Amino acid sequence: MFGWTGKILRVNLSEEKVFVEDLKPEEHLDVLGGRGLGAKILASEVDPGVEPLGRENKIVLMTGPLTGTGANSGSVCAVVTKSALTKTIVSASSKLYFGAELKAAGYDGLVIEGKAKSPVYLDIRDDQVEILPADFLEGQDTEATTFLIRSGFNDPWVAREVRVLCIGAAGERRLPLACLVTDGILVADSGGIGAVFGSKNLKAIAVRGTKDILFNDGKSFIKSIAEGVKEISTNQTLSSLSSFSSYFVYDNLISKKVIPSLYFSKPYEPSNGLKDISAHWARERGCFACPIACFKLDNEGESFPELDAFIALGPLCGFEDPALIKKAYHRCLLHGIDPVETGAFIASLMRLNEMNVLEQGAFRPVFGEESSYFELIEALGQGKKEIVGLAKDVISLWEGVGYAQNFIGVRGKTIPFNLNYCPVLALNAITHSWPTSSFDIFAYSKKDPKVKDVPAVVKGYQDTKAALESLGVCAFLSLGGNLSTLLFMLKAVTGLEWDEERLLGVGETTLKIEHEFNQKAGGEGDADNLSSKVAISGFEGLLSAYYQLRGWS
Amino acid sequence: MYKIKVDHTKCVGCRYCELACSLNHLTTALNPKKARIRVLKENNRFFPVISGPSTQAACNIKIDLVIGEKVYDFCDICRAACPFKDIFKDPNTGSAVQCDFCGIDAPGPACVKWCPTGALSIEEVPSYI
Ligand code: SF4
Ligand code: SF4
Ligand code: SF4
Repeated sequence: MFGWTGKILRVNLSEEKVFVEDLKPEEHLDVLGGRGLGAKILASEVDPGVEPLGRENKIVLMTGPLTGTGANSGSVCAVVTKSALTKTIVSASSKLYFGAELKAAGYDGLVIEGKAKSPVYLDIRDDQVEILPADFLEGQDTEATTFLIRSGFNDPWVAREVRVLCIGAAGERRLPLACLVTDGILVADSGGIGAVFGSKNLKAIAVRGTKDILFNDGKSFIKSIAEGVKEISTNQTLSSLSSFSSYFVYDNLISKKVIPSLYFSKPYEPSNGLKDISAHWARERGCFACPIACFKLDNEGESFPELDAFIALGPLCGFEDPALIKKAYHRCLLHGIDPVETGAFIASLMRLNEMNVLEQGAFRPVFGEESSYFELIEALGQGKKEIVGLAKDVISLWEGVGYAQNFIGVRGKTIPFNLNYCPVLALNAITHSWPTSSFDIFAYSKKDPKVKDVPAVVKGYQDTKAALESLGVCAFLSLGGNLSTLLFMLKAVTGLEWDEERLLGVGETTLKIEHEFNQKAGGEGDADNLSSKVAISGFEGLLSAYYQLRGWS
Repeated sequence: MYKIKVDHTKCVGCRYCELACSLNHLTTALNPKKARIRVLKENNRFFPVISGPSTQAACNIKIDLVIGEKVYDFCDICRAACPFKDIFKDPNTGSAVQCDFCGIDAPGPACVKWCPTGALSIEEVPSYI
C-alpha cells in the first residue's frame, strides 16, 4: 500500500547484524503507523517489566503513512521505548527532517535491540546499512557528533543532507535526564530516552535516502497540500503558533498564574512582557513540509527554548533574562540533557538550600545566581557527582533528603506549571501515557471548558494527538487544522477512505496499548503522588469520570 | 527575462521548494533528491541553491562570502550545478538535473509558488542577448 514502504530494519546490536523485515500495513490499520505502531511493536516484543536500561528493552523508531510524503507538517518519526526517567512507555516526536529521510531511504521504521560491545552508530544510506564504530564520537556533544559524522562524507553537499539523531555525553553516561537531539533541535518528550540509547552503546543514527515516495493519487494529493497550506495560513491559532511559537499562550498563562517561579513557591510575575522575550527572536525554522515554522532562532541561528523549557530554566530558577535562559538551553542541547528536568533539578537544589536541608559540604546554589547555575548545568551534563550529588533525577533528589512530597511532577517527570490553576492540564498530566509538558499548550488553545466537560476535553486532546502522531503528522496541527484535510491526504496517499471517527479510534487504541503497557510495568500508578498534591476541588471525581470515559479501571 | 531571486534571510528550511520541484517534475512521485533546488544549512542559516546550467569543468571561482561576522564558502551558495555537485545528479540515472524554470506562466515556477515565506520570488532582469 502506498504511504508505507513495507520494510522495517531490525538492528541487533549484540550480534551487530541488521535485518530487513517486511511490514504489512494492512495488518496494522488499528494503529496505522508512527506512535501507534511503535507502541504496538514495543508492547508485543518487550516485557513491560524490563529495566529501561537493560539489554531487553528495545527502541522502536516509526514513521507514519504521511511522514515525508509532503503532507503538511508530516515530519514526525516516533521514538518509542521504555523511558529511564518515567519508567513508562514513551513516544518522543523527532521532527525536522529525520523521519522524512528514513522514509526516503526505504524504511517505515527501525527496531533496535540488544547492546553493542563498544560505542557504535548506525549509518543508513538507502539499502546500505551499517553498524559503525563510534569511538571517535565518544564524549562529544550533540553538535560535534553531527559534524563529525558528516565529515565522513567526501562530498560536502551530500553530507549536509545526512540527517542525524544523536545523544550527547549525558546519554553515554546513561543519565536519566539525557535526551535526543536532531540537527540542533530537541526531540520533544525525549528526556529519559537518551540513557536508553546510551545503555545500548548507540551514539547516533545517521540517514540519507534517495528513493521516490509514491502516491495512490498524486494529482489530488498535490491539490490537498495546497489547500492544507491555505488552511494553515488562514487559521488564527496556527498563525499565532507560527508567529509566537508556544509562547502564544504566555500572556494567558501569566494572567492565570499558571507559570511558577522559584521552584513552585510562588506564581511568576514577570517584570517584562512577551515583547521582551520575542525581541530575542531573529529568525524562524520549520520542519519538513511545514509552513508553520514554529521554531524560533536567535541571531546566531541557535534555537530558542520552547515555553516549558523557558519556564524551567528561567523563572523556576529565579531568572528572567531571555538571553541567559537561551544560553542555558543551548548548553543543555549540547550536553543532550532535557532542559525542563535540568531546570527543575537546579531549582530544586536552590530550594533545598533555602530550606537548609542540604548535607554539609554540598554544592549550594542560590535562586537567580548565575555562576552556580551554569556550573550546575555543566556538572549535570557531565554527571559530576561531586557537584550534583548522588541523585540522578529530580525526584530522587527530593527523596534523598526525605521531602518526596515536595517534588512537583508525575512519575518522576517535572510538570513546570501550577496545575492547581488549570484542571485540564492537571488531568492530562496525570492520565497521559507519559507525563508531557510539551503537549500542554493544547490546553490553552481553546476557551476553558466547563469543569464537568474537562474529562471529555482531555480525552479528545489525547486521542487527536495520538492519531496525528500515528499518521506521522505534528500534533501542533491539531490546534487549528482540519481532520478532514488530513483524511483527504490519507486517501490520496494510501487509498484508505476513512472518516474522523476511525482516525480518532487509532488514537484511542494507541492510548489503550500504552496504558496497558504501563499497568503491567507497575510503578507507582497513575495517581503517583501528584493527584494528592492537586488542590482542585472535586479532582478525584474528574479522574474517575475520565477513566469511565476510557472504559479503564 | 526573469530569474528567481533568493532571499536567504526569509528561508525557514521547510523544503517546500524541494517538494514542489520534485512533484512538478515527477508528477506521480515525490523525491527531494531529484529536485533542482536544494536547501542547504550552513552556519545555522538556510540557503536555497538552484541548479543552473551544468558546466563540464569544475568551477574555479573560490571566494568567501561574508554575512555579519561569519564567512561562508561561496561554493555552497553558488548556483552552478557543476558536475562535482553530486546532489544535483539524479540518484537513479546519475545524469545532471537542471532547473528548467517550469515556465513563467501558470503553473509557474513551482518552487516560487509553494515557498510559504517569500524567500523565493520572481524578478525581471534586463536581457542583454
Ligand atoms: S508546527 Fe512546528 S514542530 Fe510542528 S512540524 Fe511545524 S515547524 Fe515542526
Ligand atoms: S523553477 Fe521549477 S525547475 Fe527550477 S528549481 Fe524551481 S521548481 Fe525546480
Ligand atoms: S520553500 Fe521557501 S522557505 Fe521553505 S525551504 Fe524553500 S526557500 Fe526556504
